[in-house]
Amino acid sequence: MSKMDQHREAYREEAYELIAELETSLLELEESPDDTEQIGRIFRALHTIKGSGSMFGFEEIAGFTHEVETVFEMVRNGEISVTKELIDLTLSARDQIKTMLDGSGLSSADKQKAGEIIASLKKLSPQAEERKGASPPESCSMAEENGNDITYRIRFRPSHDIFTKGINPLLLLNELRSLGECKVVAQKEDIPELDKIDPEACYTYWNIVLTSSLGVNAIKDVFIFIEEDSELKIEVIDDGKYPGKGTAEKKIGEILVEQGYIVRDDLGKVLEQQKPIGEMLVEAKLVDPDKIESALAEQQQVKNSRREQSKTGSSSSIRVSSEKLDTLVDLVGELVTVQARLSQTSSARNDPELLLIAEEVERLTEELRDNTMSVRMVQIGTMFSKCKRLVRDLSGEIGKEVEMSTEGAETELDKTVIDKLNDPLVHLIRNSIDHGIETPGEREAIGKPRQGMVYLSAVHSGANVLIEIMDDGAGLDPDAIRAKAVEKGLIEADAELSIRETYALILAPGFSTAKKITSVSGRGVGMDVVKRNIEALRGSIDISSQQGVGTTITLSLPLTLAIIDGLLVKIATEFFVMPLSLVEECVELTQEDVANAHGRQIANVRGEIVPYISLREKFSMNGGKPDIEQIVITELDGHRVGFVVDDVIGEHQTVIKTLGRVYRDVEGISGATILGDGTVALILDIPKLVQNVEKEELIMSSNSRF
Amino acid sequence: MVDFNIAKKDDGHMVSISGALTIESASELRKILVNSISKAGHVVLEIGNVTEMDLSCLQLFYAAHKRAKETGKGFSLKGGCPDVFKKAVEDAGYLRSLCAPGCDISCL
Repeated sequence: MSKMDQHREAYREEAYELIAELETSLLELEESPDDTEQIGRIFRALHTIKGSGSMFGFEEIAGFTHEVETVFEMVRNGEISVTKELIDLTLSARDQIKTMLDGSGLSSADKQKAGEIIASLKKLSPQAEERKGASPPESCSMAEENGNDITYRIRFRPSHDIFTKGINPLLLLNELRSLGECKVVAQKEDIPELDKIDPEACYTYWNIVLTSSLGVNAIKDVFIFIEEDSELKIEVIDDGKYPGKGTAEKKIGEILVEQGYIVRDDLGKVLEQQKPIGEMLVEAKLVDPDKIESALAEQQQVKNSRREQSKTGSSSSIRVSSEKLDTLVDLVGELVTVQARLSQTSSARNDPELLLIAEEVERLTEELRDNTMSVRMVQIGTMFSKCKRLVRDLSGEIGKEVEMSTEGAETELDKTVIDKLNDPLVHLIRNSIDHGIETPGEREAIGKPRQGMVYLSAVHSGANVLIEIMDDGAGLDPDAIRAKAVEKGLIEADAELSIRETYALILAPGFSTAKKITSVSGRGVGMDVVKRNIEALRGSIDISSQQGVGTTITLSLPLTLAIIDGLLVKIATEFFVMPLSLVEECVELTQEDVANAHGRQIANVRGEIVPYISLREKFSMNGGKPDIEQIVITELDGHRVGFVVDDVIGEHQTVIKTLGRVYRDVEGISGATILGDGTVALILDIPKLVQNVEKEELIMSSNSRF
Repeated sequence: MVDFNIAKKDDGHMVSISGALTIESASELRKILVNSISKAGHVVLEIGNVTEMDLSCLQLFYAAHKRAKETGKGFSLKGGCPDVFKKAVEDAGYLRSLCAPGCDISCL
């Protein structure tokens, strides 16, 4: 790959991030159209896509984005307002930029679409056409841009007769604001007494702090027509080259001395009083509050600018392909296995020196493992933004009013899990909107607000992440589900099913209760695929619903698919691993305890009755059991359940290996791992085992009734 | 076009303004403000129907409020700030202190 190709690839990657950010910001702006911060963010994203695009030869993208940027410049200046149409068009433009990024060129249909978007945007902003010449993509001020953000102190004092010359200084200030982060503080001490004031004269002057990547000429250009009659002073107060390195932000007093409003001696005297300096200076009548305000603005702006710079500087991240990360994780997995072998060998030899080394290696491996895993963790928020867009587009398409709220966007999940979660999540949300949420008319008729709601949340729960998709729609109809299942031959007409089992039928292949098939969903090929995908991630789906109120689908997913902390146990000659996150404690189970329980599988743990499952019996393992067995007590959904094993070996870092196809359907086993000596240990799926036993007991108790 | 209306009640003047408050109307605005502040104990401005505002008039409001403060008279806004007024204040960098220190015009 040539250097230019590398740069182009880097641009592409950055641009993908920027368009994702653009999408999020646009959706947020739609919710709060006055949010100037979002407008600024959108403008900056467009500006960077355009500027860098032009630099690396993506002329088509630069040209197209320039048109969109022009419109957003006007939005930023308050010349046009944020409307749904503007958001729609900009989202389409964002999609168009993505298409341009994806492919090598645009098809004629794409070109036509791009032209239509631009034409519609221009209709929204007739003045945009006039501005076009101001900053074409080729120039895009790049020549003057210098990489670092520079903070300027500007004093602008127009002549008294500026109004009568037909110039509005406020428009100049707004133009200045468009150059970067800008704080304008009016200085009003020259305004005379009310009865002496000339109403047509300008007495106000301004102290301005501007942080911009543009050079001083760009600032001078703003004042080009009035330069001769006005006082314009531009100073660089922070060149942004050394963020945070030995250049502490200036104190208010220093700024005021620099600005020439006070002398250093006076400052020294006032400082001795030990009050906030601004307050003291005003009290001492050395400066008026406007000056303090402009100094504070300057101090704050420099601080913000440096923080931004140091953020981009210090968090100098590098891009690593996910394949490389996967290889790293695999290697760490191997290392963990070898480390287990080392620990085992060293304890067998009982050599103090070797034991010491083994312990050290164990500690380091553990740290390495955690660090490697954390590298693969990404926030689920990016996916939430995609879902927001989906809800917006879909509800518009099918004429429903749906609002989406999210919670827990900062929750982290393994990248592999997130990548594979996309399709199931999209499908579930589509279902909620298409089948769940009623039309606005239907909702009003039953006393619900016109606007439906989809709530998406993510939360950590032990070694899992729970993702909840909740809607306030019609809810599931158990009778309809049952009837459909019978019709499709999924269950017998007289089958007795719990409500949970009835809901679970919608996850069966080929099941659909929707009366009509829409372009969105209802083809009956979705939910079983969702289930398969989630289970492939070692996750599970739980459905709860209330007719007329809504449906909640909870996905439980493991944090990572690679390595877990496990508890190694032994039954007969076989080893098993239990996820340590579920384990609460281990207690002994003697023959006497078993006898005292009179055949029931319950143990008395410090006065508390804990039911247990004998894994030896569950897995039909032969051989005599020891006199004293061990109960590993786990906690599941707030209930304590014990698992009886022969022996508890101890903690074990478990590199998860998937089971082959033959074992895929074995319930209660979620994977396998290789121990230090090469033995295979099966990883127990604790929730499944409990569910399984519950089901068996239910069947047994219903059989005993007959 | 701008329209001024002054209603006198007890010790107060209610100055209602509608239309464009720009340099063309600045002289008239100054006269009204000087007159009301000198004669009334409290001046209430009603500017909800102002459609445009520029810096010349903003300066007059500043000076008027300062004068009122200095002479111990009341000077306040009635019926909230129209957006054009807020925008002029923001654009001009008058934010936080429309007038003298301690200005209590809460909508700013």
